[in-house]
Amino acid sequence: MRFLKLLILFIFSSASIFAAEKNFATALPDISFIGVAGVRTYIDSNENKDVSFTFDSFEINAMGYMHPNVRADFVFGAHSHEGNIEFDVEEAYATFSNLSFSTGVKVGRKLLDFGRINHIHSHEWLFLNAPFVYSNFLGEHSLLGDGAVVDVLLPFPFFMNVQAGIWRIPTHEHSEEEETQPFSPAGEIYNIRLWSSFEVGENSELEFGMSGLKGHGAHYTSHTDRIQMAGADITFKTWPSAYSRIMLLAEVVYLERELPIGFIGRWGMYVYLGYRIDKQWETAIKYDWSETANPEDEKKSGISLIGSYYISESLKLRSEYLYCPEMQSHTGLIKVIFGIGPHTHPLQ
Amino acid sequence: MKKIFITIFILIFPFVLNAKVLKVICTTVEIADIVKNIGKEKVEAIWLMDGRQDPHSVEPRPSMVIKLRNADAVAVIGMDLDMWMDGVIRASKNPKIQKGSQGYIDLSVNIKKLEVPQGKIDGKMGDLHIYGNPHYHLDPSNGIVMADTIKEKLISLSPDDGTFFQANCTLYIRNLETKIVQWKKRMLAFKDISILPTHNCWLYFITAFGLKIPNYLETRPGIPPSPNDIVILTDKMKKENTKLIIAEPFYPSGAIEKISEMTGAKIVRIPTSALSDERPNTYIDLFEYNISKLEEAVK
Repeated sequence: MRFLKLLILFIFSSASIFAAEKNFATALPDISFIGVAGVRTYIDSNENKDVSFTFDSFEINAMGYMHPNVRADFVFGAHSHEGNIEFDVEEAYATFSNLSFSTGVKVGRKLLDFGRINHIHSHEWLFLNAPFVYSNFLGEHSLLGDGAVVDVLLPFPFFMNVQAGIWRIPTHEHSEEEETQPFSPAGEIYNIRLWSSFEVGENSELEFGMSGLKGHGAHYTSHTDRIQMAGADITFKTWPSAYSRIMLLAEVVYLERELPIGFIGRWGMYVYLGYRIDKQWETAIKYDWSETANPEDEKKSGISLIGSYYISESLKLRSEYLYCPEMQSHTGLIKVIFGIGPHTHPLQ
Repeated sequence: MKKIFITIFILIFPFVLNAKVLKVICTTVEIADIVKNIGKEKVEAIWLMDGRQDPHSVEPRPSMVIKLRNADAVAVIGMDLDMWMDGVIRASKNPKIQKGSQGYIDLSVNIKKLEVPQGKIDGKMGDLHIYGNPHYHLDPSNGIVMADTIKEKLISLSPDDGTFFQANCTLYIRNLETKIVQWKKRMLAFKDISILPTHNCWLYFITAFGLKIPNYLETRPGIPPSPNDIVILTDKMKKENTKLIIAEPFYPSGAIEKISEMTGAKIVRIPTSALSDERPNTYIDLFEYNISKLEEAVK
């Protein structure tokens, strides 16, 4: 089945490339390929050591219009999960734009607009390790669901966008070791995000975001597991020159979970400060802190140093060193993120 | 009675104002300048980037979306140079300015394009634009084509003002044509001077004024030269007696300063787009200023 999926994708993509090469008129979609691979080193106070080459992900994106106001986006992905490669349809949605009152609607499978970065594919993030608050509260991978989202640009003199969605998220299989399993929302989920932005002078922008999510935790089919989440984020960007940029991003999320043992409330946050020095170099520091979503209240924190080298428009090298004081662990990552094709995330 | 008149006036005044003024959002300052010259008081032309920024890598911002939300038209360079605009236009959810709509002005449509690649292209060739070299506005005769495209679109958006736009456009083109003759005469002095541009964004400028350009700093567009490229290039420059290096204001200094030291060629920083708050601040001034800077450099 896996090979059949790959074969279909290969034929699909090759046809597009062949048509482009021959300058034929074509109704095929825009296709992009994105890969992430690298090397990881790990050492902690218990003398656990590991050096491994990692293949993180491979994505094929296809995008095209079916109507002047309706666009389709597909993202097929292969991801490394506990040593195995898993294939999946990551996103497949139709966007109905230019509706009345500056409204748009997206229907299908999509990354949820919760928080500042969940809806952005991880290869477009500014760091390699997901913030702990994301992996603890939203799951090991970005949170995606099947459903619909309404997106409205509000009629204010400044940018304010509101999104409200309803989703169905696959449930985790229940096991006796539930408490050690990663947590994520599941089942029927409602989410809302308010995103606003203000121009601060000619070269700076200040963004605020607020997110809310209501639904169930991953084990709701076995016992009571209701959740509510709220998040707030702030982003300040300033561009001192054509290629340099200073960016401060901070996000905090609160999770309330109703379990048979009662209510538990958990917090998590991260702060990122990045400086893009010129067209090719970027450096950053990130601080993470988060409680886990499980009843056993554990905390995890870490500080990361990040360096990126943009070799061309479609090729970058990124390295990240992460120190976690609780485990006295040191993790080093060097990854190459490469892509061909027109896949972009506007405004993110 | 007086109060009623004042109330009616206050209520109607904004509509009277808005009814006649077309709001046109332009990618660059020089496009906004051409739009303003043709539309005069019947348009409001707003630019999104100026010559201090690299048009290839402008980061789209949410505040741009707000500027586009109530626009009647958007004027873009096209040919994928300002493709960052696509996302901003989509996010504005303004049906009047989406690609293919009446208010979407792609200024490249009637341009005679240079360096249009044939067959398969990929990263081996550098950051190539699939529709050809998009820096066409640096040939001033393309300014005439751009003005004509803008005029046609403005007329289609506001047919009642057709005669007004037509008259302004004719006047603008006549002025531009006179300037082109003067610029070509002045640029004759550079006919035999070997120049090194950083990037092939100067291709249309070079073609328009018949400049002698044996090499580019970037052997492949968008890819900075390697140390080995620099050695080969400086040897060539010495043989060809290259006197000038022309670079955009934002182009990194490292390689060009090193080459300048090694060859004695003078660096001239000139913008490819007009600036918002200082010279060159119009399309015509962009050529006036750049040609003057080149003349000063060879004095």
